[in-house]
Amino acid sequence: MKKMKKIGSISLALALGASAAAGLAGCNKQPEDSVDALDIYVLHKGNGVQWCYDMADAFLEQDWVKEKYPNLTISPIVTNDEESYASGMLNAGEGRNRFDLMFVHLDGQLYAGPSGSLEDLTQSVYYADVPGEEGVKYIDKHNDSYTFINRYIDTTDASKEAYYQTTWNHGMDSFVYNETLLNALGKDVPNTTDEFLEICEYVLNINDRPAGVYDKTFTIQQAENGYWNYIFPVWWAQYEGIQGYKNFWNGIDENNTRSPAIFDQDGIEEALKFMEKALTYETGYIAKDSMSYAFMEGQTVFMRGNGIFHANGDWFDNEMSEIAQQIKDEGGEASNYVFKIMKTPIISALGTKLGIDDATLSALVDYVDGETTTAPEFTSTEGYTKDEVIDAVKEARTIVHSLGPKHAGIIPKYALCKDPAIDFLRFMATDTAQEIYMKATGGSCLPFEYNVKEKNPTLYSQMTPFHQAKLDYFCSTQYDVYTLPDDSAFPLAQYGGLTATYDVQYYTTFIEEGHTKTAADFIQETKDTWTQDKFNTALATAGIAG
Amino acid sequence: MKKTGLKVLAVLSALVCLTSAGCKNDKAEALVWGGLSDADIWGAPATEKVYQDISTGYEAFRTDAQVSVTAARGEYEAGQIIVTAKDKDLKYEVSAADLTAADGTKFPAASIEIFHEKYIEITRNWENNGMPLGWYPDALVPVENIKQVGENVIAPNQNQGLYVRFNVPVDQKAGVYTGSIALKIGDESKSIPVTLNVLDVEVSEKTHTQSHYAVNYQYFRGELEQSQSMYEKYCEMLMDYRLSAAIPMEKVTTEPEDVEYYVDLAYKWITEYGCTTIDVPYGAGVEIVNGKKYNSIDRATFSLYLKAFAEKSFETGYNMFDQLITRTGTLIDEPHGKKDGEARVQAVATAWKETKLQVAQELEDDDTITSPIKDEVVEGIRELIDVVTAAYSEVYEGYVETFCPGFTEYDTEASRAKYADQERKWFYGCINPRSPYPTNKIDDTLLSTRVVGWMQAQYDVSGVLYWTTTLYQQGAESGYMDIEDYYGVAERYGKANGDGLLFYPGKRYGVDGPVASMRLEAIRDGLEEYEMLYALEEAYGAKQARLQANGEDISFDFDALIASLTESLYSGTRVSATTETFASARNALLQLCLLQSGADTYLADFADDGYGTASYTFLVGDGATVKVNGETKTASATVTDGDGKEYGKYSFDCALSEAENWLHMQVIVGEGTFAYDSYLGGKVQRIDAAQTVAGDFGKEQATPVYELIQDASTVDGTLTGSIVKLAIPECSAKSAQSVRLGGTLVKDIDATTGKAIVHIYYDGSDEPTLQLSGSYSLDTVYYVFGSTTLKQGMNEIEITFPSGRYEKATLNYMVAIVNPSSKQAEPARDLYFKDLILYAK
Repeated sequence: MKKMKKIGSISLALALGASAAAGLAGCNKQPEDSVDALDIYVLHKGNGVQWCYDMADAFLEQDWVKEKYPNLTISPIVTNDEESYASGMLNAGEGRNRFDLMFVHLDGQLYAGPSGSLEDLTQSVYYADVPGEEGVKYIDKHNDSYTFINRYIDTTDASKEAYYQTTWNHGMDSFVYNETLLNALGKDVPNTTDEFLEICEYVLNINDRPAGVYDKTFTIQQAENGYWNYIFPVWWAQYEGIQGYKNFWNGIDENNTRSPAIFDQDGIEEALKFMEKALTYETGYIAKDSMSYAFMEGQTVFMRGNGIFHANGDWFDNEMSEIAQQIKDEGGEASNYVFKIMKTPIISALGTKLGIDDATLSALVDYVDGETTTAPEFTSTEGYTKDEVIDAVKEARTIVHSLGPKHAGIIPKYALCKDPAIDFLRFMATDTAQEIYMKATGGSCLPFEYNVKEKNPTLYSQMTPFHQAKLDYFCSTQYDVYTLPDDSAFPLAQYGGLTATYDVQYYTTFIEEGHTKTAADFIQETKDTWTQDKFNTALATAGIAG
Repeated sequence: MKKTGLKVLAVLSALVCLTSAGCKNDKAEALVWGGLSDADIWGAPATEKVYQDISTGYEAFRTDAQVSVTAARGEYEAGQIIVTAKDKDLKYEVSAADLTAADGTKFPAASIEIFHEKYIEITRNWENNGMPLGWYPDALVPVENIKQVGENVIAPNQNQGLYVRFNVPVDQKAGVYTGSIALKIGDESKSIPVTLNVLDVEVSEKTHTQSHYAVNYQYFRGELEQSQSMYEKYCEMLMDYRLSAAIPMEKVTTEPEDVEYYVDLAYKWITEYGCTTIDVPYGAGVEIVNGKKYNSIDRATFSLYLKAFAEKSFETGYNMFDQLITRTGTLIDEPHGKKDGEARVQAVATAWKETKLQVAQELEDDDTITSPIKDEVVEGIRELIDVVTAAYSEVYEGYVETFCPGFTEYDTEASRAKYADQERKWFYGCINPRSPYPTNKIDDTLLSTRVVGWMQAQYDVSGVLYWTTTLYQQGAESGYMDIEDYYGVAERYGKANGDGLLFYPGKRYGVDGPVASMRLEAIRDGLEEYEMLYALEEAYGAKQARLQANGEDISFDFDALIASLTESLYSGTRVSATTETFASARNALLQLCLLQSGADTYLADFADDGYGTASYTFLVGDGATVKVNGETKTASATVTDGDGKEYGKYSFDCALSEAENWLHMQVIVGEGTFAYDSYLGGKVQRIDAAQTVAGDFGKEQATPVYELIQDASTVDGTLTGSIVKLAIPECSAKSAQSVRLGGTLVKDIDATTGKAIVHIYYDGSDEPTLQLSGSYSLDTVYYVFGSTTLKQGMNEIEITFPSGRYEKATLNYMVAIVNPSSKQAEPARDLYFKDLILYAK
């Protein structure tokens, strides 16, 4: 366990669950709630909580903070890994929830709004200057995707702009891969989903692999784990384009009208078809015993060389750092494995849609990545111009899914130590804060413009290959990574109940032995369910009238 | 223990004095009550909601302090008196007295009921229909009961509605009855003039519609009494409103005494109360389909009750199966997309059908049954319907015969066609659909509820279903929770205000049974209008038969007649009625009824030529004088019915050429004058092809090539004048064949435009779908006006422009899309634009 740094006179306290008395930090007694004591809660997730302690330390050391708040202290930071703790505290309300600043995993929309329990951060944070960066507003430095995601949905007036939460993580979900083993096979990181399946097929047919190694193409975590489901919208959005994806969630069909024809989007089915091909139990690409693994066990098994690909997220490296050290100490082949996270392979159906073959699509991916300097020669059989095809591939390459949108930084409306909490959030937009976060998490980021390769190459060089690979992507000059908005950013999903498909259990369905439900079945079932009547209700409930 | 005693009293007072805005018991002694001069007293129609806390926005319908109502015989009809307190608290009392006609005939005070409108707060409008947040009138508590609990008070700056309802007996003599209502505020009294115009039109006491409005969901909690007796009070109240609870017993079992009670009570309801719908219980069982178990009916229970009803029918000589249905909706409610939906429907429907056919066969084979109605009863069992809440799907063909879809399924002709073959049609609404479709929600208009009766008549829908009327609990994720105030909490389930809540418990106000709501009144009002339309159609049908029996080539287009009445009320099932348009439509209906019954006059045909000329054909009994807009008309022909009665045929056109166009027809028979007044709409404007330019037809995803053809006969010999040819190029699968219509075509469309008719000539035979939508200034997404199938030849496409928030928006342009749902390449097409006719409201 990493050593926790002390912050002034504060020591790390263990927190109890939501049933504990409000505000108390388990065994250690908290100082009295006061306007000079900043009470922080941070949820312990994959990237850990050290970043929060380090951030708090640094915040107190800022000259402007000392000047503005000469008596400010930070109470022992409370942390646990109970996602429901935060909602419990918020529901407990004023007088029982003493936290001034909370870094949580919940849908802030549920607590936001003029009559909600969260502080309105629109003017105090989003339209305020970044401390020490004159003329730079927080919102200007903030990742546009996350600004959209964090905007409060006012179903009575869509033009109103308000923010009640910030985000404390910006990452990506994709395939983590064992670069060592992949290279040993003589294979490259797949650019397309067809290439991905080719590698799976290749590995499946290897005859002379050592027992216990390569007998599984990739390890899947426990059966209920949704990591494949996280990547599903990426393939969908790659196919339909970002605007097409957003149109779906806004209920807008191809004819720019609101109708259940949104479910005609082929991208949904194409994404499911790829998943079905990859995950079907009988095909044998997945580890047959992986359904019994708990997620840490699955990840450990993968790190020991069982599998090439593993759906996960960029917190993997930090989360597995101790296991990695353990494996390293044991010695053996696994101790030399290098793990990275790849850019999500482009769905090959996009090539079909654009009228190019998969080899051309893959070559175009290399081109947009900057791996080659010249685009391949091709003619679209679907009548697209070259520029249209390249633009579509480039856009597809920028799309990521992240759990970041769920990582909300919030301030209860009734917080006693509110101003310092607000300034803490503003501080998190500074370059200093970016580096603190990256350092503490090994390379994860906050959703702000910050190119670490340019601004702090030393820090970059200290990161693991895993994070370097991700940051190469995020800091690329070739394109701007676009984080898909979470469904909850759209009123039709948040209030109208819209989902991509009626049944969203793709992963568990496809990996079930003898599964009969196909991708087409998911789509048909959805169309049968979403009648015009149901759709109109969803529109009305979401405040989108006809 | 005095102090404790006082404390207890205070607590009790607080308990009695709930969150109602009018409850001021504990303040009573401290208040200075105002008098008449501290009140603004005015009138409002029963079709409008006057909010407790909103003082403006009533100019369109506000009248002087009076109640003026026109009603048919056998009809309930109401008006409102509104008392607005100025800056003092007011305490009121009100009472009605007999009304008297000029000839001395009385309309008794006992037939005039006055209710105190209780208000309920709406904190969020879930219908997105522009109605405000605030306190809405809903529950109707008799003023005597309100007075007993001291709630006959009005706080400063608040409105208090008094709902004045007339129950016109079917044998009431037609005439104008006048009198007054005494309103006392403080110590001062005022007489509110009352005029009740009873027309010589009869609303049938017999109800010809069916309904299934459940009494369940903890109705008894508000009453603090769960008993069969209380349950029956609720059911009987529903029957007063021409509705059926359909289930006579609160707890349905298979115990012989319970079965007997159920059937006997059902018989009583049918024969004494005119109940039109009774459920046949079917219990709970299990069926196996493809090796899997599904919840289904219990065949034994269903069989038991079928036989019990048959036995009762034989015993009484009355075939109860005319009123019986089943509703296996608890088992297969909205099965689309639900887990194993198709299999569950199969399981339930098969068991249900097999059981009823088996029982029918058993009875048929039973020679010991000698009842003269045996065959009728057996047939009734075979014809028994199962009302299934689901939209039509071919997946359920062979299993479901009586679909009961949501109102939206009756919105278009194409959709209605799916139910054309149903022996009896049903539809329903609950949380969805939302406004502008009909709803029973508190935050919707009363007319939204009322016009359902008209839709039933127009679309031949005999049954309406509503999931519950007594939602005295509040739905939550974990189930239903108790609520503290049964007159508060508008949103009880699923983001809807007042859904499932048409009654309130009467216990609190000393009413033995439920208290009704204004929305329930609106439902009955609509059903009474249904009865008028039903009777009118019967009369028309009978006359048509007699004419045809005499060889006359006469067909009354009753569909067109209803359409002419309802076109200002709704389009499809999307409601647009206002108090003004509704009053006009209802007045026209009453006049048609009077014309038929009093002047033997029939509206034989009505048509709009699509160019702003309305054509009418009336058959008028011989000997009458007919005037149209002041001009005496002559019959163009004479027809004779099978009884030898002669009728003059009067045909005339009404051009919509003025800012306001009316049809005022008078039929003078002896000393009686019968009128028909129909508002036809505003001036019609025609935009001809020759008035357009190329820029009026632009690119959406396809670029049309514009050509103005001066001589349209070169396109088709039947065409005259000029026509615009739009050559729309082929498109690939990845784009739509869509063009924009703007400029000249839209510049005159504004809030005063009610509808438009566009004439498009198509020379192809492939019958593509053409969808028309509009780009409005308030949204980047298009508003879909509708779709039509393009036939070869001239097509007339009607567009109804949206009301509500769209009235304030600008229509930027329209978009025409060919085959909007197509994912295939489309061939090049030529569409010919002839003209656009704009109809002002």
